[in-house]
Amino acid sequence: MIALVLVVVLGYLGARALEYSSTTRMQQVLMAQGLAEAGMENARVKLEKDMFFPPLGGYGQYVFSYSEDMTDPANPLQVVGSYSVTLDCSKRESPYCIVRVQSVGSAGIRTNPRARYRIYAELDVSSYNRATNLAPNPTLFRYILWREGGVEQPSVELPFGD
Amino acid sequence: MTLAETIMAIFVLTLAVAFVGALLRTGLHHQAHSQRRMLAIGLARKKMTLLRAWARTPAGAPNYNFDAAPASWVSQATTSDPEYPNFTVQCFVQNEVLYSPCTSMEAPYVPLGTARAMNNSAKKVKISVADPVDPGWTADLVTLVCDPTRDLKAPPDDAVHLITTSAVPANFGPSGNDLNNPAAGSFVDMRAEAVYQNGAPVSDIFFDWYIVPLGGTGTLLTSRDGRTCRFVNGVSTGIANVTTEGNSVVAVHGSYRGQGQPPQNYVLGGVNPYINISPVYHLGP
Repeated sequence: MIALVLVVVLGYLGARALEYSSTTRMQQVLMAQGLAEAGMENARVKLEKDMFFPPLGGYGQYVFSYSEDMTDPANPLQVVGSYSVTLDCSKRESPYCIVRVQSVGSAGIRTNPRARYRIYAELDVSSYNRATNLAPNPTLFRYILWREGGVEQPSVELPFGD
Repeated sequence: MTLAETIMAIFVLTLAVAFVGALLRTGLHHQAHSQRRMLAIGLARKKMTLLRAWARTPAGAPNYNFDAAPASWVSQATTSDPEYPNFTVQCFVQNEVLYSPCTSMEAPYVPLGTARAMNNSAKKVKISVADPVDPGWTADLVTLVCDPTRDLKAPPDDAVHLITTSAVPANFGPSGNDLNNPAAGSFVDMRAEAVYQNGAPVSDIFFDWYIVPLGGTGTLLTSRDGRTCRFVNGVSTGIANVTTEGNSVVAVHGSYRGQGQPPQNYVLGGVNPYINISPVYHLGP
């Protein structure tokens, strides 16, 4: 009888251990998500205000990528994570008129992150309404596609090509 | 079974029950612990989402809540949530300087004060939600909230303005004057600004300057962010500084949300050369 109760209790405790570890994991994932969102915001505001962003080195270069560390605003010496942003301008011109943006947030130090979170989005840069082909475009400079996930994705990848 | 054996069995049984009870109690304690932490994480996420939406809300032209002082951000975020009244929320807001294209590429220019910086376009925000039973543990989220997208002044009004910031030499006259003959090396300093629909300046925007030679030309000394520029009457050929005869136009071009704005020009023209000031507009990106 006691053995049976012991098995039940140990099973229950084992499940709680998983729940406990998933709580910690969830916190790290949410931190990574916030950092990935920071990368999307960083890219958006630069695309809006800097006509030379992203700096594409040559005629055949369409992709630019950069990374930024994020420190704790309450403790500026502590790095809480980082984000890596990749911009693909290969579809910037008509008829596509989109800039593909990917941001990967990493909680913890960049070389050994505790969690990663990926956001992929497509920014509408068409001056014309896609339905009527007339200006203005109501979705100009808005993200018209937004996908999140891929926490475990090991490396930055964009869906190049069609 | 002897009495001793019975007592021993009861003792072992009691120990086992006590052990199992302790385990169960610990398990329940940690379950409550996990649930509180999950609630704290959810609340932190909720607060961050609400704060981001709040920052993008207009707060009376020309401002958005994004422009509010950090204290307003903090009070917005730390307002008690009716669903989680026991959780304490802390908010830290800090102005974040962004460097374009990125910090690592602009780092060499930061000590020189010439980095392409965006000083007022981003706020770094941290939301911390403390576990009400174990206040030493907090659910922390850190992110950036950036300047909301706004509308530029629409044509036919000009969204880009060119403003002279130095004394204009007497022989740098307005357009149409053709009596001038400025000295070699004379210059005029200018700056550019872009304005939103309501007339408020666009912060942190970058500009591009160029010369349209109309027979003559000069030299532009432009800051790396394009916000200031000096036109010098003269051209360096490598072995000498010379002046050219004819007119020149200096134009500044700004772009916001990928839309080219009509450049505002500074007409620098004349004979040998004379340099005039005139708002001549070129349409198109």
